[in-house]
Amino acid sequence: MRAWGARVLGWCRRLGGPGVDPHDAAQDAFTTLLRRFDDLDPNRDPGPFVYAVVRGVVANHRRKQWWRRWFPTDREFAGVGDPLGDASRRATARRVEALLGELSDEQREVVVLCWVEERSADEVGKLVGLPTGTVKSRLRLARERLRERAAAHGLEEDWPEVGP
Amino acid sequence: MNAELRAYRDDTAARPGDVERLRRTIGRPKRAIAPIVAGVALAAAAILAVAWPRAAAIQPGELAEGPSALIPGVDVDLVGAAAWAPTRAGAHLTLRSGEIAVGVAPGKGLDVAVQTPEAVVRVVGTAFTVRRSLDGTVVDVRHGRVSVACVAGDTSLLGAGETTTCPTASPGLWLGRARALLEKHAPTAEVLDAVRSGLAVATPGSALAAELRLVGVQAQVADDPRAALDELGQYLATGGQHRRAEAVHQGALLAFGLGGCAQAQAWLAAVAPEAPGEAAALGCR
Repeated sequence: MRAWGARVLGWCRRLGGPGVDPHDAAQDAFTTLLRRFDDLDPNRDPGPFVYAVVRGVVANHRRKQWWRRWFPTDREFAGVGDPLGDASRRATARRVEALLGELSDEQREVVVLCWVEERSADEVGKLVGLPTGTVKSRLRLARERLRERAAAHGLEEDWPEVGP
Repeated sequence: MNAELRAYRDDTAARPGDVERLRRTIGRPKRAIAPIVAGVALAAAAILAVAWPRAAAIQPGELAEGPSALIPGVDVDLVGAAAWAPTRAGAHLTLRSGEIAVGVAPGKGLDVAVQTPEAVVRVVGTAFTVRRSLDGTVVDVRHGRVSVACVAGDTSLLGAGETTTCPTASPGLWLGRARALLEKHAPTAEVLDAVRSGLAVATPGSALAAELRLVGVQAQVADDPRAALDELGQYLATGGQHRRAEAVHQGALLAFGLGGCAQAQAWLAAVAPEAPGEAAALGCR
């Protein structure tokens, strides 16, 4: 739990976007994980299994977000630090989040895992259960889309290069 | 862009407090949305049930002209001046002038009354019109049954299509009606009816009573000048001071027309000895 808590919360927040309550989704994800604990192979990396559960839960929450918008949610995580610096960082983060909202779910997923969480395409492929080439092609398409739309959100256009 | 991505990553990263909070909530029953939805729906329904009729109804007091829904089941359409107040089982309206059409939904036990200076019109489930005019208060029943209690004392029960008039209780209104009838050359009897009705409610010896009598005289001059002269003579002989000089002059002219100088002088001597000059003005020596 301690090892995966922050990671699951981060996935819920970044894959779910602003319409999903990350605490709520993470709670559901861990409830599912506990229920399916016996399905976990102790000899294999639990990452893909946990990620698959989180992705399914987040997808469910995104479907329900139209209804859930009427109820109070806690989308923000508690941050501590310089208030002015936090405000500036938060404003930038909001713009990035709006830009990511213009991507398809598949593109958003690889952008979050590769560029935001700084994993290699190979790692992401294993986590998501996709060939590395597919991850890279999705990144390329996402990059084109992000470069097209970045200026509209007040962001720079120099996105990371996709490796060979 | 890397800096912007880092800002996003830092902003969306979970803090140790968030992880601890998540740890505490795992395994606990989740906040169920269905009861919240049901609660919100029930609260909204309750608010609507309580607030809707009040929101739809207009505030008690002066009524604006045009159609209004006073309370559920009571609709009015006003052309004139009126006020209203809610009652335990309906509404009470006071019509000061003009006309008001009232619609009361039947079968709801609504008690609606329209009061004028001349009448109280009370209804339980019907549609009717109350109109104030020179004649008094006119009640027209469109459908249902209406109880009309005139201030003058008559009470009648009207059915659909029936009309009644509660005569005005104001001598001023009677005077206005008598003058209006006179101006439009209505039959003398109608003018005299209005005069008599006005005199019945006017204070004896008042200017209004005197004016009513003089209008009565004017009405009779053409049809029955002798009766008009008698009425004028009676008015002056009993000390009538209102427009006395004009009455003396008119009487002298009338008497002269009926019997020449002899009658004019005799009439003046009998009822207005203070005006010997009137006969001279007519050329009588």
